[in-house]
Amino acid sequence: MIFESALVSPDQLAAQLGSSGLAILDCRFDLLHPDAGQKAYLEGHIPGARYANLDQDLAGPVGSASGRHPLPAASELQRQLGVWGIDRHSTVVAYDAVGGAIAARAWWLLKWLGHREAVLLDGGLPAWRAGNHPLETATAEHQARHYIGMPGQRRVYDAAAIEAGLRDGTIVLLDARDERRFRGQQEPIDTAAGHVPGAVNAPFQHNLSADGRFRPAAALAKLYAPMIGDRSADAVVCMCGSGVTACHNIFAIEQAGYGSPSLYAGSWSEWISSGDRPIATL
Amino acid sequence: MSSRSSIVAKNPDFFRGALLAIVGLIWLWAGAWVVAIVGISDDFALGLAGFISYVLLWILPTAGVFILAGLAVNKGLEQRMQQQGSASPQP
Repeated sequence: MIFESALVSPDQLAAQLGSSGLAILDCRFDLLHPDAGQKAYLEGHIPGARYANLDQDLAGPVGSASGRHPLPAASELQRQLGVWGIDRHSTVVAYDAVGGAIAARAWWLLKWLGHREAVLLDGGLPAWRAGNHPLETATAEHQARHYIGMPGQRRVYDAAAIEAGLRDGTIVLLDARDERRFRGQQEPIDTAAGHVPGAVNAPFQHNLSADGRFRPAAALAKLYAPMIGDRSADAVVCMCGSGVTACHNIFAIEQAGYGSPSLYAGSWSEWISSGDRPIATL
Repeated sequence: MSSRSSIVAKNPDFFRGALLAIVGLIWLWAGAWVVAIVGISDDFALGLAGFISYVLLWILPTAGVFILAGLAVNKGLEQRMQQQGSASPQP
């Protein structure tokens, strides 16, 4: 293992650049400008980083009843990891420029495959830049590898399971979207505003300090304690707009020491796709 | 894109810019009235001079000031967006 923690600082990563088995994923992505992330990557990225596109690499094809970012097929994800030169022994560091909001999806997918060492760069590219660490514009070719994972190592909920869990009171559903979207006051992406009745708002931004780095584990534990209570992580399900920033909450909850919550992968964009599921607004 | 307009509509800088534009229009409208009242004259040359003076001394400087002010507001907006990491909503 290269890193001791699931969260690494820019200095720790900089000290390991060039290490054998280290793979870095640049996950920058802009929902309104889908090409902007790759453009930013080409203008400068952490040396050796591969670009992981949220729409194309970290999500599967969108269907009429799916969310905006369905989980990719395990076979396709493993193929792509192999193309990036990653195998199951690699140490994968994911980063973006928005506090890990997108990179956390890459981290979760790797954990879903049973990957052992997947970590996030704390503070992402802004912290890397602030530390005066180098960037490069070159896109190196990586020797392709064969990735063999064990898909299904993380629990995934669908809409029916969410409905049943909320009806029976067996789950607590945490929604990572910001408060205005949760309350239905503003919906910049989806066709309907509001939230799943019974969900609790837990904006992923609250996981971060003002400098964009994750808050200490004790602070995260204090943040989630009122929401989770004495439930086990098995009873906690995280959602957001499309199953991306929910992974940020999953990461934070794990950092807080609660174990691993489940992901409602379809999230809000899937919930509203049928048109007949209940919607709550505040 | 509707999502973008929603973001802008919620941003205080947008309202600041709109207020600036309204003040600018009132300023120009008031200036036109001043010229109209002062420039009432049967003398064509005097009227033409008044019009040219109005354009050179009132409209152009005023437009310049408001364009610069608008650019400053826009720059502030961009800086704030960069500080926030992204102007786009998160998925």
